[in-house]
Amino acid sequence: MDQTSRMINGAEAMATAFILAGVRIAYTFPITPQSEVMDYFAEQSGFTCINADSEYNVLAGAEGVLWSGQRCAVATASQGLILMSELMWEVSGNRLPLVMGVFNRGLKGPGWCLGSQHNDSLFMRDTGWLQFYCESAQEILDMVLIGFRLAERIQLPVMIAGDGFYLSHEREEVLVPSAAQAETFVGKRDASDMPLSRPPASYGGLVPPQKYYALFRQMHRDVEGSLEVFQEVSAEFEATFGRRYDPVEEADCDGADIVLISAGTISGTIRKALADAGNSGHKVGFLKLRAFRPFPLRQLRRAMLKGKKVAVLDRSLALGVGGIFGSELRTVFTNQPESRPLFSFVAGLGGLDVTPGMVTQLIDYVARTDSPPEGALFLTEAGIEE
Amino acid sequence: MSDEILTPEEILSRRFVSSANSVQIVTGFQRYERPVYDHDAKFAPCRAGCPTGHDIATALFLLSQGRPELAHEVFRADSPFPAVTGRVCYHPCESVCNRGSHDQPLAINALERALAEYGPLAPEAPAPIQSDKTVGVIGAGPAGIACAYHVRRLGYAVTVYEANELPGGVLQYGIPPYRLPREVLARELTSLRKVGLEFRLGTRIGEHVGFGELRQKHEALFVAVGLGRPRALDVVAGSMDCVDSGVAFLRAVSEGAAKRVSGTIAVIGGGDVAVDAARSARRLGATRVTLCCLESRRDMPAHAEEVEAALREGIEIINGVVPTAVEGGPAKAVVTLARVRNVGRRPDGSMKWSLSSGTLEPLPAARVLCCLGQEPDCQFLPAECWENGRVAVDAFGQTRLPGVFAGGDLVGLYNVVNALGSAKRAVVGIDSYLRGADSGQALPSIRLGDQGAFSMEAYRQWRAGAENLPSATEQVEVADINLDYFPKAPRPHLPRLHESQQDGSFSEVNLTLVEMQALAEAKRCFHCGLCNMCGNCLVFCPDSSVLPRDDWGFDIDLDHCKGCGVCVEECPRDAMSMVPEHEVRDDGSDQPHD
Amino acid sequence: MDAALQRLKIGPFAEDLFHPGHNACPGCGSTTALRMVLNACGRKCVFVVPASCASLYFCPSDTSAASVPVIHTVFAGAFAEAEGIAYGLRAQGREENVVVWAGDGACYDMGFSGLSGAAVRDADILVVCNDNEGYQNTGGHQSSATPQDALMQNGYNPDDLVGSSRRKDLAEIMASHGVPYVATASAAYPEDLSAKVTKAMHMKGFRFILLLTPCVTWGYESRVSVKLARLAVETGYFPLYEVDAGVRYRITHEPERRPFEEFAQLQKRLRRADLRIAKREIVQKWEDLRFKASRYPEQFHLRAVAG
Repeated sequence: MDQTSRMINGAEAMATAFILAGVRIAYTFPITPQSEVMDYFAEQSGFTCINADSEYNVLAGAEGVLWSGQRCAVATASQGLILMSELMWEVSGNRLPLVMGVFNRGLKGPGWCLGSQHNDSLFMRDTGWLQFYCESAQEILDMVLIGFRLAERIQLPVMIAGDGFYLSHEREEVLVPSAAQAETFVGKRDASDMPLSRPPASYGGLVPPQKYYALFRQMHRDVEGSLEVFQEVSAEFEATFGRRYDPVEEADCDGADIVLISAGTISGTIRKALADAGNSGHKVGFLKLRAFRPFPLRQLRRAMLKGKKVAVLDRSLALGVGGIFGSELRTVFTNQPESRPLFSFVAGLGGLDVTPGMVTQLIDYVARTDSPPEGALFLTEAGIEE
Repeated sequence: MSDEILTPEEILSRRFVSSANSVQIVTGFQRYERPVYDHDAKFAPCRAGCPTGHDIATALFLLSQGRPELAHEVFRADSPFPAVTGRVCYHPCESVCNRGSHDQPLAINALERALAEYGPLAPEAPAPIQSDKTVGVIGAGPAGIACAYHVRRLGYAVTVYEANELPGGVLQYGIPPYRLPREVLARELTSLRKVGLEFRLGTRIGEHVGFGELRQKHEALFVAVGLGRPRALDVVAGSMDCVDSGVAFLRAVSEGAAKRVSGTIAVIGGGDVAVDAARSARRLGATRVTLCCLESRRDMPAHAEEVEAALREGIEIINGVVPTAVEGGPAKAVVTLARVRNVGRRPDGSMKWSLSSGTLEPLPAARVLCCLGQEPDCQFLPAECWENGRVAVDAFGQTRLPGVFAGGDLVGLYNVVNALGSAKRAVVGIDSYLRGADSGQALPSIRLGDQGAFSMEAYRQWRAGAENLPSATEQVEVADINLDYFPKAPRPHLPRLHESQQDGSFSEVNLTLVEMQALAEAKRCFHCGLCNMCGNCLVFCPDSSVLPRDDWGFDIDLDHCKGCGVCVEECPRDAMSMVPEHEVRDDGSDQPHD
Repeated sequence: MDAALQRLKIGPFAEDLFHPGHNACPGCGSTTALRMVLNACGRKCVFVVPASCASLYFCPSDTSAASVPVIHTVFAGAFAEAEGIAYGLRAQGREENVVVWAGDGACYDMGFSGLSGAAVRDADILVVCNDNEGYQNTGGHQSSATPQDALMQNGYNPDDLVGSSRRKDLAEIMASHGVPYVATASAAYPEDLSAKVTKAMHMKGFRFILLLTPCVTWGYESRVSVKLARLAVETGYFPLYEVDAGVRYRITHEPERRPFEEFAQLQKRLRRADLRIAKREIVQKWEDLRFKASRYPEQFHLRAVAG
């Protein structure tokens, strides 16, 4: 194995992954907690960093690089990601296989917020971008490499998200593949269908409604179909590097009283809480959500039906509705013969700490409550309220 | 179902790609008017104002493109000797030149001369004879030569009978060499002989051959003998030794037989003959030349340029006077002049006036040259042909004798170019007469304006049976010109020999423009109504709907033209117009214009 | 005398890289200029077109009107996108020019920061701004390129005296960035325009050409479209000049300085405008320009490459 063990943070892991994949151009704009990613690009020799004037133009520029047939590195967070909104739809609509790293951070909102919250990346869940949530720097590095293969096979852009500060700034031991290994895995981009490799044509102009519909339908099918492609690419990754990445990861769900679902760094807290507390006699299974788009509907349903109750812990909030994972996971049981009571919890907004103690409180609550309330349950250190 | 809507490329790449060429979309349906290249329906005022209908706009365009020989050909379509007219014509074209309303009129006369000089014509074989009918021309002056020239080109054998030993008429025996060098005339005549003109020189009607004989011999005759008899001054008393007609004097100059003069020369008269005589006298040594004429300076019949040249050469001009007595002696004559008013011209060309108060000093002169105009010297035409001292003709030169046509000074015209015009009209008359056709029928197809100008080329096409000949009915005015394309620029100063360099010789005074200057001046021409393929229409069309043709000009792509009108607006020279898309026909039906 | 004329050979005329069949308005000043620009660019380029009238006329009814690849993009994104394309192409050793054909909406307003950013970074792109003094695609709405007191759909209300705003001098703004090449040009002066485009196409780095193109929403008969473009120049309202490296100014056409009324009275949108404002600005502009142009002697100017 050519992998080297290094103590690096998520920002360096993210940057390293792009570099290992052979990317030599990046469009950059600093924003906490992502700025260090671009600093790593800047240090790299033979690497062109274009310091754009806004994230909007970061994504526009990256789109341009993709149009030319090359790969480009992009990373952002929070306000920057939202500012890219208009272009997010264009990148996916034009089927450009861009890979972007995001360090989740809360939005301004009531005021500037630096702590982690998933609303920024989830804001893009309708755009056709694939999105994956990571819980470690290792996962970030590996998912970026997988992301390139996946994006270029399915011709859809891919977002790799990780909690800001928790992942971006904290170091951990990461096995870093060699450049040769990574480049072999990622391969070369086939850009033979790009405008300058084809007879002159007009790309993305005024589209007749029937074609617009047909192209959207095709994109919808492709997002759905990317699940299978992801699994294939993951299998190849496991074969090359020895690490396995499934759309969802089950632990102890068989015969569980409660299946607890979450994503990102909260996963680590949940595992610790489950390991330490013994759970007051409750059998709790943990379902980690890695792929949010594509939405792994069947895998989720199978795992969720294993428990008697389901609890979802979101680090996001759709105002007036509840946690976003929770909203989508409710649809797993729609029109199905079997369902389970589903408790939708929201915690950790704005980077508020989620402790193992809070997880235990959540489990106790779910265990003693037969019917979940209609709306969201807000979990803080002080307790749970509706 | 969705897959059928997408193209194969779109299915493969999964993105929206438009590869078909937009040209397949018809955008022409939305217009309510369309541009047409109607330059065939237009003519420039210079052409209408030229008595012999030269296609000046086209010729100057060809000259501006560095093709003087093609320009020369264009002039030769409508007249026989541009090198001559480029020197002696009084250029009425310049007075009506549209450019004159913008900055200064084109120096058309100087350019005619330049293109003849810089564009010698390729040798040309005579036109094939296409009829066994022949034409006789009496008089080898400008009108006679022009008639013979056009008639021969139409395929008739023609003989020109000339009383003098050399052809040319006033060109040979009247206009002095410093205005028209004899070498130039000789060259033109040689060229004309080569295209089939046959001269019988030294042949006077009534002396060497009879008029009736000629009427028998030729199916048609053209009489252009000019005005051979100078009017005499009737107040002369005493010896006539020192009194001469200007015409005789100029003839001697032309023959190289004029004697040197000294002292004062008095010239009576205000026309070109008078000015020519005065300037010639100057060159022959006169210390003082005084020209006395009835007319005011402004009304002098002589060309203004000639008068100015005379003044530059130091000739004294006394306007508004008449000689009341000339005392002729052996060595000098004394002229008594009186002031006049109410000066006018009678129908037969003679002048009338009333005496005014005021006398002048008597004028002693070594010679007195009388230039009072001429009368015809023609005995062979019967009385019914004459009216007011001139031969009466219709619009096409037909006299009151069938088959006998006339033109030039004899029919009351004046100037070389008017003679050429009358001869050209007579050619239509002659040709129609010989073919048994009605000359008036050709008019709609060939007429340019209402001053009698027409296109000989159009006439040839019409008589050859061309159908749907476009008739040029619209004169281009300066308001039709897009002046934005013509920044103001002056005409060149026309080069001439300075008075101090003339040395008393008869060398040509006016010089030809340098070739570069001529090209530059030709570029100043608007080319009114001509498509010169400047390409503005093509360049400015927002819809890429103007396409160059293989032969000349452009076409409109009517599938795509939206009728915006930009091309017509930006055509500098009115070679295009907008016409309504739907035109109601005579039968009242409303049909698309095609 | 067609026979004599046909012995002259005039032409050939350059092949048109912009095809008919598009849906621009009759007399559109923009497509007139675009044809000239595109023909001067040649085939070896890629066009990037942000939201504008051009988004429609480059691809009427799912066809393409241009003989070069055209990438359509969002209103403000064209400049960085073009820059990205250029970076990608150069990394592959490809030489194609990347040309942005943007309206004043994208250049003056929504994309202004992107335009400035691309300029500051000396992006290797040519931006051609089709300035028709408003957001014309939506029906004639005010932009910061609209002259003061022009009547627009949403702008100046002469009865309220609110809504009117000044017009930015974008050419000067771009020149102040110190980029390799900035120029103004007009479709009414085809040789000047082609020379400038050709020169720009042979240069590297950020190049900017501002075209003033009349639009039928200005309220004139379609046939005077080019005449208006000419009058804009000849009245001094729109000077034709170029700036090398942000400092070497060269005036490329001396206008006659015809009265501004000749330009204004042909357009309904300026009927209520106080022309004295514009005239004052013209005088000031020319004073400025003359000074700048006098700073560097003629021999230090980069000549346009003969196309």
